[in-house]
Amino acid sequence: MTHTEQNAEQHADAVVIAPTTFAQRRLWFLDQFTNGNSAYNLVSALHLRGPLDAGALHRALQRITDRHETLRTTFLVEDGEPYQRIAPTHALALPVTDLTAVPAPERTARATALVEADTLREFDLTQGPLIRTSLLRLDVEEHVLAVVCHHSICDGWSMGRLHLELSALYTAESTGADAGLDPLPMQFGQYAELERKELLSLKAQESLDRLRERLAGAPAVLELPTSHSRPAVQGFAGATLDLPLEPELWQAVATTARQHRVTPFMTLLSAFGVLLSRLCGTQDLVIGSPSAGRSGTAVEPLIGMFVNTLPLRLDLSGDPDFAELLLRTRRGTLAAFADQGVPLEQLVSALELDRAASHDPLFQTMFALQQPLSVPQLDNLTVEVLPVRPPTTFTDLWLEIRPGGDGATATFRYRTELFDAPTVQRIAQQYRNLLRAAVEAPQTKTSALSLLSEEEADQLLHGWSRTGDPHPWDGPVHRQIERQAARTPEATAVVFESTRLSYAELTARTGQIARRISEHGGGPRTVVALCLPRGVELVPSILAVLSGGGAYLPLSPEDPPGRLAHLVQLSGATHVLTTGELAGAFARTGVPVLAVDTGEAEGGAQVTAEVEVEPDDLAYVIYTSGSTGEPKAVGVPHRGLANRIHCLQDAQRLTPQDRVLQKTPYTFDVSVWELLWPLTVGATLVVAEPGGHRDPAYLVDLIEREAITTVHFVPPMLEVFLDQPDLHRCVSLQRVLCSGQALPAQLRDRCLDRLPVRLSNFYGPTEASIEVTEWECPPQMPGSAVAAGARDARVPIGRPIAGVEVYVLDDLLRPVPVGLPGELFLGGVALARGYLGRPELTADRFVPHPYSRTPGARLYRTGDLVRWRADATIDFLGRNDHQLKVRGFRIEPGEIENALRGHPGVQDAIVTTTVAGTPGAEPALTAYLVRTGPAGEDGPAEEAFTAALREWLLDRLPRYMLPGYLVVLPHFPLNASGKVDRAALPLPQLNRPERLLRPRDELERILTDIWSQVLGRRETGIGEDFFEIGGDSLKSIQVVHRAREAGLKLSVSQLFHHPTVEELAAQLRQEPTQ
Amino acid sequence: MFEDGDDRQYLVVRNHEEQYSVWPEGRELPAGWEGVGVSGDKAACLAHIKEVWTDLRPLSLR
Repeated sequence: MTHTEQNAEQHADAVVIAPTTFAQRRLWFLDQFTNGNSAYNLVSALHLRGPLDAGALHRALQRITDRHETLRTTFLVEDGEPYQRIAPTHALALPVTDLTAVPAPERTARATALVEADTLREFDLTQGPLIRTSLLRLDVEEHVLAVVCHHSICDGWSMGRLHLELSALYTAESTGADAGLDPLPMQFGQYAELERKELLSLKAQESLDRLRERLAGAPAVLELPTSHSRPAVQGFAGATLDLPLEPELWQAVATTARQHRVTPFMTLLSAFGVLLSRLCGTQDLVIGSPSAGRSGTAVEPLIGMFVNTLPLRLDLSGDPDFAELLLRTRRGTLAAFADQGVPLEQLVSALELDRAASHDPLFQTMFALQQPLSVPQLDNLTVEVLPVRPPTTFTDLWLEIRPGGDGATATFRYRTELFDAPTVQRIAQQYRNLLRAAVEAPQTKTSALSLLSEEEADQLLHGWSRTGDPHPWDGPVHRQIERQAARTPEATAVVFESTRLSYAELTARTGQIARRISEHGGGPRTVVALCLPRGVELVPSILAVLSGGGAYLPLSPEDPPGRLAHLVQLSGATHVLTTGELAGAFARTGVPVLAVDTGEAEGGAQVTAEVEVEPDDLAYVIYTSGSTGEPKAVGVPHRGLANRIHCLQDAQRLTPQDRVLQKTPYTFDVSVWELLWPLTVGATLVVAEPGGHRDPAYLVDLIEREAITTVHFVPPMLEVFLDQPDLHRCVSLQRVLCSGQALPAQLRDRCLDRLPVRLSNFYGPTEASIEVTEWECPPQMPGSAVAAGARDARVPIGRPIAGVEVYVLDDLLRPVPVGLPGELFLGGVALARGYLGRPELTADRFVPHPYSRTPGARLYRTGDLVRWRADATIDFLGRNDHQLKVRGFRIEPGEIENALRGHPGVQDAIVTTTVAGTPGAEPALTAYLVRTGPAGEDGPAEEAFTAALREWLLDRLPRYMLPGYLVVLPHFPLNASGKVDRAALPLPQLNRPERLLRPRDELERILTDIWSQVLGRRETGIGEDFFEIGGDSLKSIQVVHRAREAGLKLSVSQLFHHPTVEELAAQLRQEPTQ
Repeated sequence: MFEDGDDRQYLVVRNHEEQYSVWPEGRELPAGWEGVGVSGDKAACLAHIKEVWTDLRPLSLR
């Protein structure tokens, strides 16, 4: 074929206008939406070795451009509708960059970098050209040819076609021979017209209906366990990670596929589906997979955007074995292929999913099994693909598998806004582990396929699960205190108001009370109830019970008498120690009641006979509230308590000079170490006055007056304490120990900013001897690199203390991989005996330990959701039942709370769901806030604040995570332990009539008119969401065009970001119109 | 596992300290535990335990 013939092939010598295909419209929209992006640029880079005829190469490329009108196409817009504009000719440039001056070993890397940079240059879809070719000269006989195209005119298959034509035309141009290329049967513009017609056909309608049915009810977004929160508007920053699939595995995939009469594609996809299902905790998922989209031989030789991404829905419900899943996948995939003619863009519109800026509609992960890379055959040249990996992506996670050699390479392309490299590395390895397990034993239930290799599971179960052996048993804690008292009898043991007890006096008082209990028939291994206000009698009373071999049961003097009597009876307590004033409450229990404050003053401290205590004997019994309402009496043995006290001392190194504040109500187990630990090392215990733990001003006073060094706080109380204006008076403070509920990062930072203390975060349930994990917050280093922003965004609960085992397990009790949520299970010496009088409850929560080396050991299941971090520490995620589901989205309230706390005006936040205003409606996402600074504003000031806060959240959270209600409270309701009482949060005012309000000014009127025109409605309320009332991406472009005609400068992304007229108008008012 | 209201079948199991618990039927029982010959849904197993486990103390302490 000659040049003349080639030119004769062209259809016209004038510009041709053609419609756009659905896929082109989508790409064009995305370009508008982001004001240009390079994520949809395709690149082919070829490394050419040998004598290159650059002129022939250029001419060959020009002839390809002449042959394919799509390479001469740009886009134009009329009334918001894009069209293809096909130029009759386009002179393709082939600039040459000479790299021979670069040192030889660096040239390839330099060439790669240049091609990558070229790939990242955005195309102007209106101006064009949408193809760029360039040649890099590395040496006389070494070149790189780069071809970069916009996806709207090209696809992966097209690159293969381009290589094929290049082979023929290069030979033709360099030798003068005939290229032997047949004329193209049609051009892309004709194809676009054809697509339009076909999509109107009945057949296409039926396809669409089938697809719609197949995808009905699919989850809107696949919640991958990302490293970072999903941003409000997603970008295109990406990266890739390669993982080899070794020949044996690759062979096994092929064999398994053959045996089950499926394709390797279906096998690899099924394994990916199992992985995603496990990562996301869903059994229903949609994965996108590109299909060539070239049905019919007429389009086969064309270059152009034909590829269509098929949504493949995988069904893992009912825990099928892998073989069964393969059959399901085959069924689903074949059905999807049968309807592959429906463009994804049309489907998205039909399903009305086209609305969120935070995530892609329908699917956010993709899978492809690619052909081995094709390279052109060029005369006298050796041609290899030069791998170029532009740092972009257009989907959250894309697994692409490409065979090569005897094995294959799995490439994971991921959104760097969501994932960091170590996370994807783990996911990739999990895929390989799982694929291997699946193809080796396809009869395995998918739930039983392990994400972890044996070594990884072993590391979690036997490495990370523990930090050290339990402290050797050296007697119960009260014996340690007796030994300490003998060493320093004159030192001050307990301070309460103006009373000071030396260690000797404490011992004496303890002995007196112990004798009274014993005289009244008390003996070892009984439970003795205490009902005492915080005061000087409390410590010796506890020690007296312990030294008699009994377990103490603390009861709150603030409880009503009826409840007190009930609790005594439930626990089986044999005696009650109380005050004369409170004694009456116990009269009807029939249990001996001793009033410690009215007892006969007896003489000197005769030492009572030492009662031997076994490690498994109970030290204390503490009631915790159960979900059913009936309190549960947790019996904790001495072994766990002694181990906890030793570990605390190992970590905190209390000295006799230390002064520890006792302020936790003694009905909560933190008080146990507050009361006993200081006395084991000769330190002084300072007891706060009753009620004083709730009064931050009193605490500041007391800390200063008594030179307190060590104090425990539950986070909400620490928050209030840090607000004290005269906090600087607390100079003596050295340690702040937190536990009880999650410690927010912002609170950690405030604490370390305002107090020069060691800050520790503990975690533990009453059922496991107070605390089982600990984390010391790294200290602030002023002026160092550890700036506030660089600090950890979440405070972990740390690692297990010695003697405790921690496991993060799934619902089959298997170890959960790093980064995924699982339930926390505890083992080791810390475990309580159980719930006294509740064997069935005990048996349910304390279960056989499948991973212990000690036969017959038990595990306590906490019901708390946690995850491993990569550094072997644990993140607390919340109670199992705190995770919320709103409009089909699984929502982690902590994420929203963190975003709220990040606002300077917000001190603390709680996010939960509240019942909707109308019956049957979805529950509403509601955020409760406490503001920083003085509270008490209301009316307009508060409205302005919540409006500003909404703006703040809009910038930080995906739309589906935005709370429907923001409720500002002066403070959170707290329960007796100082934790937030969620049940006591007020319901929001359920009033949203503003949705339908009429426009209030000219700007809002213009906008509502435009919306009504574009959406074909009579009226639009200023609070209505564009995408909820029929808007989609293409309609959004029409809105933008009409707004521009009306003189308003508006972008598509603004509309996505502010989808109500009210929000949009507010946004426009801030920016002057141009 | 151990979820309330799941439709799994459980065994009533006991260790050398005569502590009771439940364990899903068909799964390998951890060492040191043995079935006591009672199985059923979780509620039934727990009801049985409520009857027979009258002393929560480990055997070595009784």
